[in-house]
Amino acid sequence: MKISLTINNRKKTLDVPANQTLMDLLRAQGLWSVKHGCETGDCGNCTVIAGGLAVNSCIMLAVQANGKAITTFEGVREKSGFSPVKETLMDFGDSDCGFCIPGMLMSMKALLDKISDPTEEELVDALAGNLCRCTQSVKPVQAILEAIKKIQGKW
Amino acid sequence: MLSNLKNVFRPKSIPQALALLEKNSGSILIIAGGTKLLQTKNNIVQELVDITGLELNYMNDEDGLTRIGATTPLQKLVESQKSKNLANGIVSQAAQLSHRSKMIRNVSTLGGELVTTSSLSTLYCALLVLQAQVRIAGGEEFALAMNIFLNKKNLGGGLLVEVIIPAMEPQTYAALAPVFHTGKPLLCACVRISLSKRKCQIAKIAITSTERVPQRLHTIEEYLEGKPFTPAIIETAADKAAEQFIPISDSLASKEYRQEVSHSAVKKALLKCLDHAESAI
Repeated sequence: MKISLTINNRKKTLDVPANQTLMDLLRAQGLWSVKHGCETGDCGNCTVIAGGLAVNSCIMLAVQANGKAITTFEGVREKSGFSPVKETLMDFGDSDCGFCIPGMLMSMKALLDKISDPTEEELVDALAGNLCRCTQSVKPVQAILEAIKKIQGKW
Repeated sequence: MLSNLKNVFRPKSIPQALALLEKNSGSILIIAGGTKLLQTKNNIVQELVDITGLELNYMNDEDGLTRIGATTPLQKLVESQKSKNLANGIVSQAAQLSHRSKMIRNVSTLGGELVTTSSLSTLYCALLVLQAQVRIAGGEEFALAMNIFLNKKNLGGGLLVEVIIPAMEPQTYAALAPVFHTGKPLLCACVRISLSKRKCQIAKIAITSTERVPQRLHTIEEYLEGKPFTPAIIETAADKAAEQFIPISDSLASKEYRQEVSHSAVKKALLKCLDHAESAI
């Protein structure tokens, strides 16, 4: 099936199988930050921004993304350099294995695009679907709250 | 992965969608958000009808009724001011409790949640006490009361297009109270109370737990009706709730534990209604 979408600000027209997930499509494009985790929308490692909203790309068909703007972690990294977030995550000892981090950061970006100064409650809600098996999500939330102060207006 | 999926149709109108469903009955399914379908790894479905192009993503007030389109995402129900103002915000709160993950709520739709949920659904429970109806398109359009819809096994080729919530009468208050276990809602009590001169005129109470259809607590509703709405009466009503509510045991909790916590859930929901009533004076 033919679909047209924008991936990290680049317009693409692709021919995709009806049953291909958005996660598989993005990984086939070399966007490896989109992690292949649970395939059931439970872990959030495949989180991308589609049409301005954080979504689990493993439980979305590629054809459902037709006409949408998709942003992956690669798209954000290219734009921002990402060092303040990276430094804060390191300061907090947040990133143990690091597998969950791209998904978490995409959830965080989707939130910050809507609310520039989120409360802790809003951040916890935004990250509730991103599981960190190493740190149980406590450190990521602390680190991201701190990082928000550094990166406001830079994303 | 839906390994046998061959085609996804994108109809632009409800008649087009119904024609596709009628023509291809058997291995065709409706998809809106699609989160539940993709989680199930369905290997039978060959064709899908994507109804997100049918313009059913809305929330309108019309002639005292609130109409919510079937493809309205759950997160929109959580965030919209209209939803927060409706029935003391219980629809908004119920939508938030439906899924822990915001990513899923961003995509999951109201219609999908109502059609596919097989167990604990806070949305069912809230819509049940609000006496909502669902509008089904297919052949002739018809509306079903939520309690009848909940007991239907399928829509017979029809399409759920909207949920209609009647306006609450003056001095009517609603509340829900969930009980969590390891981050997951274990059960949730929803109540709607209409008062007149501080006496309870109408009470609607339901608890959702392990089954698709929430349990209405008719005995407690009858007990409350006509009585002054006071903390003492609420305490007795909650005692009765624990007696009338019959849950099942599963890996999350035993039947006895669920019965015990149903007491505090019903009490909490009724006390919230009392708070709403007192702050409205």
